[in-house]
Amino acid sequence: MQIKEEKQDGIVIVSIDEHLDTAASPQLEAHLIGLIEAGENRILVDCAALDYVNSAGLKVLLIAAKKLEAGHGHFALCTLTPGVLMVFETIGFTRIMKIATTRADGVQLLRELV
Amino acid sequence: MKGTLSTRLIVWVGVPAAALFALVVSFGTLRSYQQVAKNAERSSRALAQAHAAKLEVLLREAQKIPEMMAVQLEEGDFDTEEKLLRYMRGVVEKNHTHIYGSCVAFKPFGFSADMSGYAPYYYWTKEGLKFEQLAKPEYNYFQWEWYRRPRDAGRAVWSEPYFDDGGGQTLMITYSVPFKRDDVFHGIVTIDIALDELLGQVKRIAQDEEAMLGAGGYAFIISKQGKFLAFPGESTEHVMEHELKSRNPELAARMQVGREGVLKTHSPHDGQPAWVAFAPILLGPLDDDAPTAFRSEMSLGIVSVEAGAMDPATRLLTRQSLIGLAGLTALFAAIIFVARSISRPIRELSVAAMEIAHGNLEMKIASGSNTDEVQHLTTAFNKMTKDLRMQMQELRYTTTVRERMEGELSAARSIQMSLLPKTFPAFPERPEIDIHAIIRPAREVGGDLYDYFFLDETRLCFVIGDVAGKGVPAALVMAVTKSLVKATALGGHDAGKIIARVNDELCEEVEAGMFVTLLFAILNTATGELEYCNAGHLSPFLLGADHSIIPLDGGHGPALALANDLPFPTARHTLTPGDALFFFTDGVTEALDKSRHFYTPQRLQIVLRDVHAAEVSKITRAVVQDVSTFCGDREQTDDISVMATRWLGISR
Repeated sequence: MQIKEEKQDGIVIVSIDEHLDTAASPQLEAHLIGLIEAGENRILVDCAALDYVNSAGLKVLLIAAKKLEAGHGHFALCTLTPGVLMVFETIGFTRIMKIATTRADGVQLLRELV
Repeated sequence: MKGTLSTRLIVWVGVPAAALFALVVSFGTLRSYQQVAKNAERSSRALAQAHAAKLEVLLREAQKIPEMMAVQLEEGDFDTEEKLLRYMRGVVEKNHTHIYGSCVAFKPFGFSADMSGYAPYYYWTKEGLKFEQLAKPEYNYFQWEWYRRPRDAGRAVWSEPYFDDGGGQTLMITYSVPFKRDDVFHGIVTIDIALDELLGQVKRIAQDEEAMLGAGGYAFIISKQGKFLAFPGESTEHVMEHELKSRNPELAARMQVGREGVLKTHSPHDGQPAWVAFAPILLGPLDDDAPTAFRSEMSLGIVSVEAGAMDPATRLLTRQSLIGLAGLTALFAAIIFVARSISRPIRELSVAAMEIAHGNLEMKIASGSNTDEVQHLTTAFNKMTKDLRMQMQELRYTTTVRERMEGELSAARSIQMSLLPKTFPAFPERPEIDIHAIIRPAREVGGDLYDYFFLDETRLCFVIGDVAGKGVPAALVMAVTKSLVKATALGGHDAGKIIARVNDELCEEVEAGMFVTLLFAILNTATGELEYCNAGHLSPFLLGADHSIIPLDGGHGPALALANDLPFPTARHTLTPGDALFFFTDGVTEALDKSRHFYTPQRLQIVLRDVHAAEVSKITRAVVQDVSTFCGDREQTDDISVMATRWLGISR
């Protein structure tokens, strides 16, 4: 898995690809926690290139969301592939996470939340 | 070559240096010995020549006396007896220092016709000058050497030493000069020289040249026949008894024929090794044409005892040897010092190395050496010790961490395994229901759980779930979840409502980010009615008695512990006798092969199709076996749990 990061309108956009599994999770967790501890309060994770996520990966996303929201920040996901979206729906993440269809929507969503 | 550094240095440096030194010294000594010997030879030869020449002058002075008298007698200067006697007396008196006596001996009836012999003789005694007429009955002078030899030879001769008992009463040699009248032999004029006089001369030589000859050096004179004329070692009285030939034939052979030279031989006096320089004393008439051997009446020998002659060379050798010895001692001392100064720190290092080998890594070596190499070694050694110490610490730390991890792993596994029911058949008294379950935990426990229990006589609960996360925290959450489900189920009726309550409880219990997917089902074993709730879990398969395989994909709700107060639906389905249910966790469908491909629900369905009618334990085992085959050598990263149950519908 590769993690790319860019910033737009005060929003950090983190792109991840391929598999977010047991092996890749710690890397993303460290990255996201690093951003939050550095004071970033709006993070959008772009999952356009993400093929697969398992419970370990979901757990990382959940931790990031809860940690950010506990500090009055906001966490969102965008451009989920159908497979990933299905997992999200199965697990119930679609009910507790902010999920946007496109990246622009995601940015817009977070901008409005400030 | 083995051995200590000092031994090796001494062998490779000290010994060659000593050998070289010995070579240089012995060569130098040889050369200086040769030089000194050459100088000694040259100077003693010159000495012999000089003293021989001096004696020659002295003796020639003496020779002149009878020679002059002979001329005067031939010319008839002494026409009266009185004139002759006065003249003779004057000569002896005048030359008394080196002439012992003088005689004029006429041939029979040569002086006067009425006297058969006439030989007046003046000589010195202790009392003074004495006169003797040698022509007397008891002393027939015509028979004596000193008279006969010059008469027969027709020329002047020196006699061999003899004891003159007729006249002088002492040991002497005589120079006899014949004189003629009318070209016919008429008589002899002689002078005598006492051997004491010659002895005095050689003693003076020995005294004068003591520095040169060394202690024990001396000079001697031999006659033509090798008799000793002057020999300081022997008393004059015994001269007659000795000949040089018997004492030193080598020397005699040279000296008796008037040769000059130097000979390394032994002293004629005591046989000690000695250098003898010799030179002839050429006397007799001045007739230069005659060969030296013929004219050499005497020969002077100068003896220098070898030890004395070689003194300068010996002193040089001694001095060089002492300097060399001191040098070698210093060299050896230096070698030993250097070797020690190198080997001492090395010895210390080896002692320290042993210490370290025995486990004392705190050992630190102080560099006590000035040698760069040894200092580098010491530094390297200390660095090695330090690195070793650090590596040991690291190793200890890693080991501790691993042990703790292993401990955690086994703790997590024992929590998980102790909670899961593993006794089959699970309900032997219930023929209408068969249950079988297998869990294969990953090395790092994944938090899978399953359970089955009766709520009452007819209602049987099934639980299968997966806690997100690993290790002890996951195992603990798993334990909490299992207890919560069981406790809540016992007090409730609707699967969805039970799970909603479990969710609320869990949200309070577990930390943020932890969540649990779970499938909860309640089967009425009397009627076959099934109600279930799926909290974010994989849908179970219904293995129909009619050979259909369909997922029970109703009753979907979110995973547990995501948020409070979430609604959970209940789905229902009625089983027909012989229907089976297959529950599993994502450890099955998301198992990876070595190319990182997923096992997939499709493959699971194919296996299930093969074994759906078999006993539940065969179904579970077939699936686990197939996953294991699929994964090959790849390590299992998540727990694999499967549970199957078949409702046979036979009432009690």
